[in-house]
Amino acid sequence: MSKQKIIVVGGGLAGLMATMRIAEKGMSVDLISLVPVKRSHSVCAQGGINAALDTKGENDTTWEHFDDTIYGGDFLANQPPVKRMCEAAPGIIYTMDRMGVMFTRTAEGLLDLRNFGGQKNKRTAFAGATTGAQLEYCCDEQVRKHEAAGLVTKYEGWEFLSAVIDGEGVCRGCIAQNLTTMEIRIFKGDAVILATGGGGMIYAKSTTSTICTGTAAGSIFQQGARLANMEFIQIHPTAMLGDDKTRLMSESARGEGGRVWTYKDGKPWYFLEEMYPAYGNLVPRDIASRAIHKVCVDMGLGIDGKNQVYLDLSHLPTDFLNRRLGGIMEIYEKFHGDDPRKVAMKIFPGIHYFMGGIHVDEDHQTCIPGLFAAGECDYMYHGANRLGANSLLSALYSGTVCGPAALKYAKGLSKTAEDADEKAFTDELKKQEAFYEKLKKLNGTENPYVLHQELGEKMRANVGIVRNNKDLTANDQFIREIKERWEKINMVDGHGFSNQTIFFARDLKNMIEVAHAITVGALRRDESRGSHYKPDFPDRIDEKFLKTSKSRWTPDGPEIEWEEVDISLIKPRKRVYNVAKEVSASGK
Amino acid sequence: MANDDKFINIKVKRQDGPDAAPYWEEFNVPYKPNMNVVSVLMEVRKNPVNVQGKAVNPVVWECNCLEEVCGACTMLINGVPRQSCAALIDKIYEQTGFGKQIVLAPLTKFPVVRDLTINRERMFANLIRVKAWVPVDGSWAIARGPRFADREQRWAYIISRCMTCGCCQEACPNVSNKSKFIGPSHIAQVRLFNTHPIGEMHKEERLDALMYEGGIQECGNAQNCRKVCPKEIPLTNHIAFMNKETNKYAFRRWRYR
Amino acid sequence: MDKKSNFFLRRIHSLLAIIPIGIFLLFHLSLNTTVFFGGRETYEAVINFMKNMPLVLVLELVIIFLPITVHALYGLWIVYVAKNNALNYKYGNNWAFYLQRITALITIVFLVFHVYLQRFSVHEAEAVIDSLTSILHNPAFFILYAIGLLAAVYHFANGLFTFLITWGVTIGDHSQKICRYISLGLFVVLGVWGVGILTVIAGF
Repeated sequence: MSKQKIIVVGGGLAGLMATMRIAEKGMSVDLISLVPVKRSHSVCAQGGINAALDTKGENDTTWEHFDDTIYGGDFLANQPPVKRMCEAAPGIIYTMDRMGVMFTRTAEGLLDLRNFGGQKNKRTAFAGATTGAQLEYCCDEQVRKHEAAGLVTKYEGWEFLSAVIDGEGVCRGCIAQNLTTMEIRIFKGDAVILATGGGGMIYAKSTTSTICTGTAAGSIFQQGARLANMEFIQIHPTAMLGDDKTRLMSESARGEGGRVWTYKDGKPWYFLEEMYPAYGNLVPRDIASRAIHKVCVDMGLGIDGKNQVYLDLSHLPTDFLNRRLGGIMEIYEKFHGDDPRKVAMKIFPGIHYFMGGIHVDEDHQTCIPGLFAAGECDYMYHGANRLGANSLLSALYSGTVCGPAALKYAKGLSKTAEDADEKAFTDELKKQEAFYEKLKKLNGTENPYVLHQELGEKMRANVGIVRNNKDLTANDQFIREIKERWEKINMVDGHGFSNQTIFFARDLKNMIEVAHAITVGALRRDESRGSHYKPDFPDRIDEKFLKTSKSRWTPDGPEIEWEEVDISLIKPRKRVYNVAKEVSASGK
Repeated sequence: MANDDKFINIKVKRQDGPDAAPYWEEFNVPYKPNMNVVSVLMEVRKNPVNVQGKAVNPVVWECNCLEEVCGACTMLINGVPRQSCAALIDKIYEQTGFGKQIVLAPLTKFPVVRDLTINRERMFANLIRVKAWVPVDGSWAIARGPRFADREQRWAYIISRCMTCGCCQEACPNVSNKSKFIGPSHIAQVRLFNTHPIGEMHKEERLDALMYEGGIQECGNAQNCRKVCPKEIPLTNHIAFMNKETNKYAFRRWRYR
Repeated sequence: MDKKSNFFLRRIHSLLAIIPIGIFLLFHLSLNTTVFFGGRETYEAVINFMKNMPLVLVLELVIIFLPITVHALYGLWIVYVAKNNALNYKYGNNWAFYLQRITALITIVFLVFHVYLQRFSVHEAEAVIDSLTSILHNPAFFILYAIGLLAAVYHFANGLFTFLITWGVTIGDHSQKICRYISLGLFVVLGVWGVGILTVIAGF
C-alpha cells in the first residue's frame, strides 16, 4: 500500500489535538487552516476548562460532571459519549499541564479551580482569563514539534472548498484554495477530519471570530453530510455590544463573584439571584440570557433604557481581578473605555456557540465514510445547551477520539486515496474551478458584505433568544429569497490575487445554507428546550422532541429527520435552577 | 447624536501584490461613535469607493478575533504597530484631534502580500528554530503534571500570552533586511519553556538555538519592543535574563569541553 | 565558520568595550587631569613618563590599538545592520540606542585624527602639547575636538548601561533604570571633566 496520509481541516483545539494524536502514531498529516493555526478562534475562549479534579474538598466526581452536563443540556445529548468525555477530562487537563499550559496555580503549586455556571462544584481549571489562548498555543507548539520532525505539513492560508467523494461514496480527500495565490488544488487523504468550528458569523454579530463562518459544514452539508440539532445556538448572557462584533465577557466573571443587576424602582435589582436562589448568578447560559432578555425587552428595565444590564465586579479586590480575570478586564477597558475594576460593565446577551453541528457517530465519522468532524463543528456533547468551560473540553476530547478513529479507519482501508479513482478528484476539482470562475464573474447589484449584514440581522431577530413560528416562517422565506439574491452579487474586487471577496462570497453561500438548516430546525421543534425557547410552546415535550433533529440538504431547503437520543444512563428529569439539582443516582 | 455629516478619513498604503509598487489611497467613511479601524475597513468594503468617488477594489487586510487575542490584524496605524481591532477611532481622535486623517500601512519588516496583509511565516519558522515547545513523550494521559510555583506562574503566564503578532519585530531597529535577528518575542519564549519544569530538562537545546546567527546577540537594547508589545510582556527583562543564561551556558560549555 | 561565531564576536565586542577600552579611557582622562594641578610642566613630565614606560609599544598595541580596532570594525557592522527608527519611536532608550551608533561613528573619526595628530605626527612631549594647544586655540577646532570627546564619553557611558544588560547583570526594570541614571550621570561627569581638560590645555 502506498504511503498514507490524513487531512485535518482546521487548526483550532480539536484539529490540533487530532493532528497530534495521528502524528504520534507515525502517520503523516496535512493540516489545512484558513489562518496560521496560532490565530484560530480557540484563542478567544476565556474562562476555563472543566474537569472533576476534585482538589477543592467538595467530593466532586466525573459522574457529577457528566450529570451536570446532561442536565445542563436538557437531556438532548447522547449520554455515553458525554460520560466518556467527563471521565477523560482530568487526564486531558493533566496532559495539557505537562505540555506547558500556564494554568493558574494554588499556593502549593497545583492547578487552581473556579466556579462556573450550572455546576455547584469548583471544577474549572483556568489560565487567567485567556484559557483558550493558552491551550491553543500549547497544542500549536506540540504540533510544531511534529512539523519540525516532518510528520505534519501545514497549509496555512488555505480554505477547504469541498470533500472529494468517489463513486463508492467514500471520502478520499478534499479540494482547497489558497487565499493568496488563489490556486485550487486536490489534497488526497485517506481520511478527512473537519475541525472547522462553529458558524457564529451567520448571525454577523457574535462573539466568534470572522473566520467562524461554518462554510466547511455548509459545503459538506450540500454534499450529503447531515447537520444535527442546528436550532440550538448558545447565546452568551454577558457580551459587550460593539459595532463590529459582540465581545465576550467570560462567565468566569460570574464564577469569581460577579453579580448581574439592573435598577428596579430606583434600587439595584439582582434579578438572577432573586429568580434562581439556588444558583444565583451561576445559572446556565440559556437561563441567564433569557432572564436578561426578559428584564430588558419585556420589562423595559435595561440600563439607560437600552438593552443592557450591569455585570458587576467592582466589589472585588483589584489584585484578585487582575490575577484571575486580567484578560477580560483588559478587553473591556480597551474596547469600552471604562475600568471594570471600578465600575460595573454593561452587557447584553450575544450569539456565542453552536451546540449543533455536523452529525457524526461515536467515532466522529459522518455518514460519508472517511469524512470525520470534531470540535464545535460536530453536535455531540452539549445537547440543547452547553455548560460554560465544557467547550474547550469537548474540543480537545473530540480531537482525542476523532484522531485515533480516523487513523484506525485509514489503516483498515483496502484501497488508499492514492489508489483511488483519479476521476473523482479531477471531477471535483473541475467543479470547484468552475464555481470559482462563476464567482469571479458575478456582476449583479448586491454587495456581498451588505447582504451578509442583512442575513445576520434577520437571523438575530428571528432565530435568537425568543422564537415563534411566525418569525421563523418569515425567516424561511427570507432565506429562500436571499439564496436568489446571492446570484446577483457584484464581485467588488476584480483582482486575481489575494481576493478576499471571492472567499467571502463563497462562504456566504454556505452560510445561507446553514442558516436555512438552523431556521427549519427551529421551526419544526415545537417545544422549549435548552437554548431553544418558544413562548408558544413553553414546556419541554420529551414524548415528541427528545430527539436529535437531523437536517438533510435538498435544493428546496433542508429536510428534517428525527433520531432517538441515547438516554441509557440518566433518566430525563425536569430541569430547574431555582432549587438545587439532585444528582442522578444512577451509576453511583 | 447627529453625525451624518462627519467622516472618518483614512489614507491606506496599498499594494496590489508582493512585487507591485505601493500607492496611497484615501477613503471617507461616515463617522459613528465606538468604531475601530477594523470596522472602518469593513465599511470601506461595503462601499469600496475612494475619496475621488472612483469605485476601487476593497482594501485587503487580515483580521479574525477582533478582541486583540489572535494578532492577525496587526498593522501600522499612524506609524505605530498595533492591532487594528483595538485601535478605537475615538481614542485616536482624542490624541490627534477629531476628523484628522488616520494613516494605515502594512508592517515594514515583513513581505507585503497585498495591501495591508503581510507574510509572517518567518516568525513561525523561528519558533521551530528555538524549539518553543515542551517535549513531552506524548499527548496521552500519564499523571498529574509537575508542581509549579504560583510566583513563577505569574510572570511566565504573561510571556505565554504572546500571540506572535510581530509588533516587537516591527519596532526593533535590529530587525532589518540586513539581519537575521529572530526578534524579541522569541527570546522571551525561550525563557518561558526553559522555566517550565519539563521544558527545563531540555533548556540547553534552546540556549544553543539562541546563540546561532540572528540570535540573542543581535539585541542592541533599544528597548522599543517592550513599549509596543500589546500584551505588555516585559521583553527587555526577559532578554536580559536570557543574556545571562546564554553567557553562562557558553562559558560552562567551554569549561567542560 | 562556526554558526555561533556571531554570538562570540558580539560578546567579545561588548567585553572589549569595558576591558580594556573603557578602563583605558578612564586612565587616559585621569592622567590628563594633572593639567588641573601642575600646569604645563607637570603635564609634560607625565607624558614623558608614559612615553618612556617599558614595552610601551607592546602595551599600546595590545591594550589600546588592537581592542579598539576590533571593537570599531565589528561595531561598524552593527551600525550598518541596524534600521534606526528613533524618529518614529521616540522613546528615551531608542534615542540612546541611535546616539550610541552615531557617537560610534564620530568617535572613530575623532580617534583617527586624535591618534594621528597627537601620537604619530609629533613625538616630544613639548611638541605634543604645542600641537594640541594650537588646535584648541581655534574655536572651531575646539568645538570639533569637544564633540569628538563628548561622543567618546557618551559611547562609553551609555555602553556601560547596555553592557550590564548584555552580561545579564541588570535584569529587572528597577536595576536597569538605576543604571540608566548612573550612565547618564557618568556621561555628564566625564563630559565636564573632559571638556575641562581641553579648556585648560587650550589656555597653555
